This record gives sequence, structure tokens and C-alpha cells, in this order.
Amino acid sequence: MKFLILFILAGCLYFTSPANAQSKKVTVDTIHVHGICEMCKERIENAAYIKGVKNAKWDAQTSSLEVFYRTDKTSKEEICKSIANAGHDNDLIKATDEQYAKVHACCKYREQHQH
Amino acid sequence: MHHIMYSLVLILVVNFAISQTFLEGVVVEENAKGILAPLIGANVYWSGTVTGTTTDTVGIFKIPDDHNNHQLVISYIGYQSDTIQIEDHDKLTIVLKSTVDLNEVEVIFREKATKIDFRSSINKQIMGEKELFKAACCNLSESFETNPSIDVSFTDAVTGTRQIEMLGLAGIYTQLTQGNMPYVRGLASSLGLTYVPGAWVESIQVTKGIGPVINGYESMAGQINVELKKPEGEEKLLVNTYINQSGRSELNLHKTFKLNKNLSTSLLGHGAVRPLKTDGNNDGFMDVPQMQILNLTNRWKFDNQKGLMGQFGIKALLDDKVGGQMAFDKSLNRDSTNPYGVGINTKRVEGWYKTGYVFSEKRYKSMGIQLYALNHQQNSFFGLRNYEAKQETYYANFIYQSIIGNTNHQFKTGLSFLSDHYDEVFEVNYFRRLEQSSGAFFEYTYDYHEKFNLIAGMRVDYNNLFKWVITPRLHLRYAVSEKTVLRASVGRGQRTANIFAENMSLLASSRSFEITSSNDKSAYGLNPEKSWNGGISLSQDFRLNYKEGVLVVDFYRTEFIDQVIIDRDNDPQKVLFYNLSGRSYSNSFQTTIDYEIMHRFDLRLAYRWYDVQTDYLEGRLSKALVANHRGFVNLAYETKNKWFFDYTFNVIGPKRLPGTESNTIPYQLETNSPSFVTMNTQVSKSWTKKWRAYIGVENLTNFKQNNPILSSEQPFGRYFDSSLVWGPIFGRMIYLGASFTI
Repeated sequence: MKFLILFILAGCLYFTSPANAQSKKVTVDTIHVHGICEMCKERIENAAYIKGVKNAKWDAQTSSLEVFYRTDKTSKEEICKSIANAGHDNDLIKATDEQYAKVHACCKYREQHQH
Repeated sequence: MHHIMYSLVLILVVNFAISQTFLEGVVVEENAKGILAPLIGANVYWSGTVTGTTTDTVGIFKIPDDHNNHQLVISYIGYQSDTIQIEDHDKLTIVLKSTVDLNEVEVIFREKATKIDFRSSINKQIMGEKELFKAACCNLSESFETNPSIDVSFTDAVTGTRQIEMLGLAGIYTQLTQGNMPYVRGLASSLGLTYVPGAWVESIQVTKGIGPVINGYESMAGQINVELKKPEGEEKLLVNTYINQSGRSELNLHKTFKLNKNLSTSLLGHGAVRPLKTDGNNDGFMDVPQMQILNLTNRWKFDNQKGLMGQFGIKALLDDKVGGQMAFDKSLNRDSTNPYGVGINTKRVEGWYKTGYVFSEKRYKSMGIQLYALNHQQNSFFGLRNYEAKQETYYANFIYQSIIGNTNHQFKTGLSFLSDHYDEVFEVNYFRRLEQSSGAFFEYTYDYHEKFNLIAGMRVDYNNLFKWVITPRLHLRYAVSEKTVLRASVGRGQRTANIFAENMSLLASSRSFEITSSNDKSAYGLNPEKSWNGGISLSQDFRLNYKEGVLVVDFYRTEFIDQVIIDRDNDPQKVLFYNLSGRSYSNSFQTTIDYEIMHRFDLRLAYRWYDVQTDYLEGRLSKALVANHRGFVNLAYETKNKWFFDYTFNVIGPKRLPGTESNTIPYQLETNSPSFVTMNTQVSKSWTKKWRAYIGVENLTNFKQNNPILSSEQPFGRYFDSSLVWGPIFGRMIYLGASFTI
């Protein structure tokens, strides 16, 4: 029983503490980002995690990135710019050819539907 | 993932990864005026898979055929996703409707090291490569360190064998399969887990509660299926090494060869040695035995590109372990009473063949056959006690899969045959058993969108020793919402106990084995074990501080109708085997939270509680050496440049120790073991996806059970017992290793 109580307590403690963070202005956006695979997912998410981003999850099936961010610290444009910089075309910004050239061979989403 | 369950067997039988044909079509939108226009960049993928593509500038797509899946999903931001049933090869025209509500996006899947299959009606965790990396060493018995549903403990302080437990019941009640064919069973019950090197494993599926009927009637508390790396997989070469401070060294190799577009093969090799003798607790006994293992597998896979696919393989294993007192030398003191020694020598050869055919015009229809043969020989001695055993097993399973009307109603049916032949010599007693069972099964799957699934299975077998075996099983899943899933399962299981092989740890004691037979023709004169298992689980996705998490709560109950009772409480100088009269049950409750604290920083918290009670001759007792409480924390952090940090914390509650009160004072134990904490940690780094190096520490706090061997100074005396192990038998252990993959 001791353990159960300890665990519940630990759980409660942990899960109540971050609540204060929610008072800040956080918004959620869904951004369409081109990509193919798990490697793309890693690259896209890492790129999306710029300062002010709380959570970013890209789904390979729908090619959509769900991103939570603080509007006082960053913007959708900033996030999209960072993603394009990593080589992934998205709703707002298309990656330059140089940026696109950096992605791994298996992630060449622009060529994907041509072969 | 959608169809993982339904096609569980066929995926393995037929392996659809390489596809031969393409499905083509066009995706168009219908505007307000009803005019059709092509949609550019729409996503097209097979439901529940990552096989997908996007439409080109005129809305056309071409997607590799997926024989295993006939549900194609088309999605496009701002449009309603559409799932269509693919029945034939005709070119498709798909019309997507615009939707105002942008939130109508598909459920987002997170790629986790361990994931619970959200859409399957079976409570099944899939442990991928990432999870397996967390336990750097070395074989299946050590792969579950980060899985709170499975308890791993040492069986005794001499053979160094680890056993698993699910739902508070010994590993023997969990069916262990490899590629969904029989694997760790029979004579391999104790050591079999160590015969699967971790580096060979692609994934492990852990099912809590009863399994599907297709794989036989033996799953009682759970099922663990291991998938080895495939010849047609992405990995071309793997070299993996490991060494720890006790001198244990391991080497793994995996090499694939693609001979042509129809045929591929792979070689898997594993060698392990522990040449040194170590005695960390100064009891005169080696903590773990010296060992030498050589394990080789050759796998083949063919695909005629027209729907016929198959694979076959052969596996050979040599395992030699020598343990006991430090002074023991096998070549000199084999039959003497000083010093005490233990030797276990195992030779094992297995072969399997699986083939499957998918009807190309009707992709929902397929059939497959699985064949398996095994020869297992063990020669062993524990002091002056000899145990020699042989097992020959043959297995065949034929599966036919189709639908009733539409793909909401699927079924699998088939026939199976299992033959086990055992020859055992224990001390001066000879036991022989030929057990054969033939049976038929039918499994119906109902799938109502993603809201509700049901799997109802029934199998009827005829066993030459135990007559008819009826095995009904039912799994239900109901998605209350996108974030909440309820599951329930109930079913019957049966198995035949191999009392010596399953209790080998008891051989390293002075206990005499006494069997109370109730009939003369069955296994050792004992009844088969029969049980009902039922459980419910709730899985709740949540979001906290913008991060996602999953809470899983489950409860399982197993009630034995018949059980072979292993009674160590009656007399500390004996172990009694007899049929259950009265009740024996296990209740298991577990709650687990998986949560992403930060990007790339995952937390897993778990608590589990067991109540396992059995009616012994001396009355109802809770099961010995099972902890009622266990708490678990795992933290995993990964940096951008591929450093991985992993930390596991376990707190294990008191365990009841078998009764020793009739022993003279120095050989009496407490009634319960103390609770204790163990911690493991590992740091690894990978470079360019090819190189990976790791260093870790097992049992960080150096907690050890003092005197794990009772009467270790007199191993041939009356009180000697090495099976009263409740905690770690060796202390802090540092290991390091590296792997190279291309």
C-alpha cells in the first residue's frame, strides 16, 4: 500500500506543477509539411522546436504538423521558416533548392510521385 | 497498425513488405458547383501503414500494392479523409469533399520505443528496436528490464538463469513464440529465453492476458512473440559486441544477401563466453556459471512476385554452462562430493518453413502454412543429481483467411497439429511421454470502423493423453472517444507441465522430488494445467502542458481449474508435485503512465500489484517469491546529436519466502524478504546511423541478496538450497559495447 500511495503522490506532484505554464498565451496550428518517412519526421520536428514552441508532432500519414507555441515568443512564419531551412516545403514557405538538397536521399519528397 | 491483429499470422507467414504491383488512381475534388478538379499533393496510404504516396500535378497517384491491406486512405488538408475498400485492380477515381472544419485531421500517431497498438482489440505492446536498445545486453531474458508488465528475476543462485513472470504467474504460463510458431516451451522452459540474442530481434509483441486461438491453446497469462530480423529487411550487416566486468563477452552478427528479386537470405550468428569465475558475495560459489554459447541461424525468403511467398530457416545452438563452487573443475570432479558443481549442456536444432498465398484478384483472401521441427537435448548434473532429457517436436498449422460479405467481417480458420516427444532421466527414474494434439480453429473478427472490434475465437483439439480440449476466447475493444479505449478479454488456456525442465532451479538443492500421481498414463501422472483468464484495460490519451501522454490501467484475473502445484512449503527438504485441489488464482492490477516531459525526453511510471494465492496441502498461501508490489520509473532522453541516456528505477516489495521453520536455527529464513531498490542506467551514442557505442551500469546501487544460497558451506548436506532467491545475486555490473550497422 505504501508504494501505491507514494506513486500516486509522485504522479500528482509531477502533473500539477506545470499547470502555471498554461497561463501564457499558447496557440495551436496545423501546418502542412511535405515529407515521407521517420527520418523526415525527426528532421521536421527538430526544426519546428524553436524557442517558444511547446510541442510539435508531425504525422507521416497526413503530412501535417501540429504545433503548440507561445505567440509572444514566436510565430507560425518563424516555425515555417525553420522547417523550410531544414529542407521541407510547407504551407507558407518553400525550401530553396540548396536547402532541399540537404535532405537525405530517401526523404526526397519532391521526386516521390514521379517514379 | 489497423490490421495487425487480423493478419497477425499472415504478416508473418507471407511477409508482404516487398510488393510487386501498383495500384493507380486519381484524386479529385468536387467544388460547390459539382465540378471535378484534380487535387495536387493529396496523401494516399494504406490504412494503418506508412506505405503511402502523394498525388502528382494532375492528381494521379501510384501506390505499391499491399496484399495485407485493402483499405486505402486519402487525405488532404481541408478535405474530409476518405477510406475506401480496394477489391480489384481497376483504376480508381476518388472524390474528396471539402470540409470547413480543419480539425478533422486523422489521429496523430507517435513513434514510441514501445507502443500499445491503439486499434487492436488485444492489449498488446510492441517493443521496437529503440526499446530493445535500452537493454544493451544480451538476450531475451534481459530485454524486459524496461517493461513494467514483465517481472524478471533469478531462479536460483547457481545456474544464473533469469525467469520472467506475467500477471504474477511464472513464465511457463506465458506462451513464447517466434514468428508466431512455438518457441520457448518444453525442455527449453528455463533456459530458452537466453537462446534468443537481443541483436537478432527486430521487435517483440507482448500480449497481456489470453492470446489468439490461432497459435494453439497454451497461452494462459499472456503471449510474447519475437520477430527476428528479416532477410529482406533494410539492415545489410550488423556487428555487435558486448563485454562486462565479469568477463562475459558477446558477439553478434547479422548479414543479409539479396540473391535476386525473388530470393533473399540472411545469416545470424551469436557467440558468448564467460571464461572467468567470480564470487562477489564470498559464499564459495560462482555468482553465475562459466558459459560458452554458439548460436547460428540461416533464414531464406522467397517471393515469386505473383502472390506466392514463403520463408524457411534453420537454427542450431550449443550451450555449455559450468557453475557451482569456485574450486569445481568439470573434468576432475564430475562425480565427487567435493566440491559441488553444476553443468548444463544443451544442443538444439530447429527448422521451419512458412508459406503463404494471396489471391491476387481477391486480396482479402489468403492462406498460409507453418511447419516447424525441433530436436532438443540436454545433459546436466547438479551435484550428484543427474538430469538428462530429449525433446522432439513437430508442428504444423494451416490458416485460411477470408471475409464474410465485406471486410467488416473477417475470419481465419484452419487446422493444426502438435507432437511432443519427451524422454527424461531424472536420477534413477525414467519418464517418457508422447503427446500429440490435432485440432481445428475458427476466429471471427468484426470491425465497426475504428469504434468497435471484436475477435471471437474457438478451437477444438484432440489430445492423445487428455482427450478433447475446448478453447474459447474473446477479445473486445471499444473506443469511447479518440482518446479513450476500453478493452476486455476472456478465454481458456491449457498446458502440460514438464516438472523437471520447468523447475531446474530446484535441482540445485538438497530437496528430494516427490510426485503424487493421480493416474499412470499422463505426464508424470499429473493432470494438465487448465485456467480461465479474464481482464479489462483502459487506455487514455491525455495532453498536459501541451505534451502528449498515455495512461493505461488494467486488471487481470487468472483462475486455475487444474494446476500442477509445486510445493516448497511442506518440507524444506522436499519439493512436492501434486494436482491442485481447491483454488488457485492470480489477480493483477497495473497502471502505467507514458509521458513526454520535453521534446525527446520520455518518462514511464508504473505501479503494479499482484495477489497470487494457491491452496497447498498445508492451506492457502500466497505464492512464494512473488512481490505483491512493484514500482517502476524509466527516463529516456535523446539529444539532437544522438546521445541517448536511459535510467530505470525499480522498487520491489517484500516477497514471501518458502517455509524453513523446521530447519535447525542457522538455516531458518525470515518469512518475508525485505523490499529493495534496483537501478540501471545506460548512455549510448550513435554516429551517422552506422556506429553505435554504449556503456551502462546494471544494479547501480550494488544491492545484493546476502547469502543467496542456504547452507552454501555444505552443498551435499541436508539444508543446501540455492533456489531461495528473492533479489539480485550479483552487485554493480559495468558493461560496454559497440555496434556497426549498414
